[in-house]
Amino acid sequence: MFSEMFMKLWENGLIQMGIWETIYMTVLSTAISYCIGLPLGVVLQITDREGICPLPVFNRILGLIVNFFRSIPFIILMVAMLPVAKWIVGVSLGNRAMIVMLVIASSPYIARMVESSLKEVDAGVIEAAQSMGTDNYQIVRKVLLPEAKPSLINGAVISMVTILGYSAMAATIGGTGLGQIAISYGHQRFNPDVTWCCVFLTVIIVHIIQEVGSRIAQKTDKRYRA
Amino acid sequence: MIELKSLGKTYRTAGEEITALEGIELTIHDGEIYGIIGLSGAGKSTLVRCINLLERPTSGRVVIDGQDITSVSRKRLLEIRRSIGMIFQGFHLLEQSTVLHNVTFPLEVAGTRRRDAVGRAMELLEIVGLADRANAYPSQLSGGQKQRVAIARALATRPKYLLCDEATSALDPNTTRSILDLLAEINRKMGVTIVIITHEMKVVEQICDRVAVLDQSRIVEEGKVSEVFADPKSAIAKELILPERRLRAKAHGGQRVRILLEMPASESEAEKVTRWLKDSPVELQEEG
Repeated sequence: MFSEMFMKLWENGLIQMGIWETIYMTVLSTAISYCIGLPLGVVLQITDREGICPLPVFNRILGLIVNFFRSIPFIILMVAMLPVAKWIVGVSLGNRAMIVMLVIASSPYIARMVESSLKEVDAGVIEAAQSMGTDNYQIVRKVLLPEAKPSLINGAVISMVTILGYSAMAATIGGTGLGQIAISYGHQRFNPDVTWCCVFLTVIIVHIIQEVGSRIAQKTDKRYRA
Repeated sequence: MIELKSLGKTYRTAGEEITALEGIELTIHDGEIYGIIGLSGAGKSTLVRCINLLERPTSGRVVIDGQDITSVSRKRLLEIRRSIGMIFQGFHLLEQSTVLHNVTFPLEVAGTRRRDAVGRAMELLEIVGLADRANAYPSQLSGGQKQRVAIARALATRPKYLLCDEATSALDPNTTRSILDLLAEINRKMGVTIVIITHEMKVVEQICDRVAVLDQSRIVEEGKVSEVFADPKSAIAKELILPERRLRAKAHGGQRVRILLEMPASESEAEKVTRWLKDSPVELQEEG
């Protein structure tokens, strides 16, 4: 039923390893991207004209930089950023380099996700906090982020799935994981069952991320309890 | 004492200038309940936000206890805000926090120790009658309960003043009455000076000592509630007060009384009065 190639890959543990590498790259890249994207998103939100610390010119410039990175297709960005990866982690091949690419590509994306989650927080609640003598730092820490938590978690789920997709593309220039198995063993060596197996596994991983994430978001949200 | 001196606020948007407030002179004495009434768009909300500088006035001064707060440092302003509580039409509670945490929040911000904050919050929840809901979330409460939590929160830092921005406008008449009773009690027992912004005459009538009538960015009338109600001078005050006032006088009179009713000149107003009369337990005998 399965091709010889598939059996060989399975017996040698390459597919299992691919699953692990995909998860590892996705989770690690998401985590690092959030370290950059979350503060960036907060800054974008609060320096907005309607934000708590309006700095329109600064906000425009930051927005332009974010949009610049967001508008480059990932596959092109990857190639363009190879020297940057080499400069940061010393190599331009393999998973470490790929994580750098993924972080560069997804941080601006996450910044926008965070920004839009924070925009959902009712302006009245922020005003109430200001009326109590809350300073801007406290508003971010104690009002904006906690109030936007369910939405931020939903955003993180979407970002993670996007990054998982990117990580598969990274296989084209030397990344590993399910994407690489699908391309080099499935596509290039004509074993459609290997490709489909990778598709199937990816679907399962995405589904698990989505399910678990949504559930956490729902559990955190205290707004619609009867 | 809160003093507003020749206060003005102008918004500048896309080459257009909109005047929200102009030449506001107002003195609110300690211990009183002061009403500011006006139709929507009169500038009431802007006015109350100028008192704690949520909105910066473009001219004039806001003097609180002798200090001009428009010229203090940012840090001092945050301190001053802690001495002025505020409640809103939309309650504006932290939806993701429990009732208890909503009330401890301003204390946490002010740097109070957690244990003291919880003690103070429970004390306040007791006063507003919601101690048993301390661990509930705002979404589990009714509008009136939410406003009670908001009042407890606003009082947490023991402010001297409480600003109410249309605080009862989203509530039904019974709930409105109970919230107003609570505010009056707070004024009496804790000596908190209360400023109430509203478009509802009955709110002013029920608890305010003095009232200012705001119309088209200006204060057109000001004085003791009993005096303004008995003899409104400005057109807008007459419009706001008179029809309701006259009919009320009759409804209260126990015996048979003869009242000559002067119909308002405007047709829509006259229609309002007629409609009200039809619904009221008054016998009508038309005369010439």
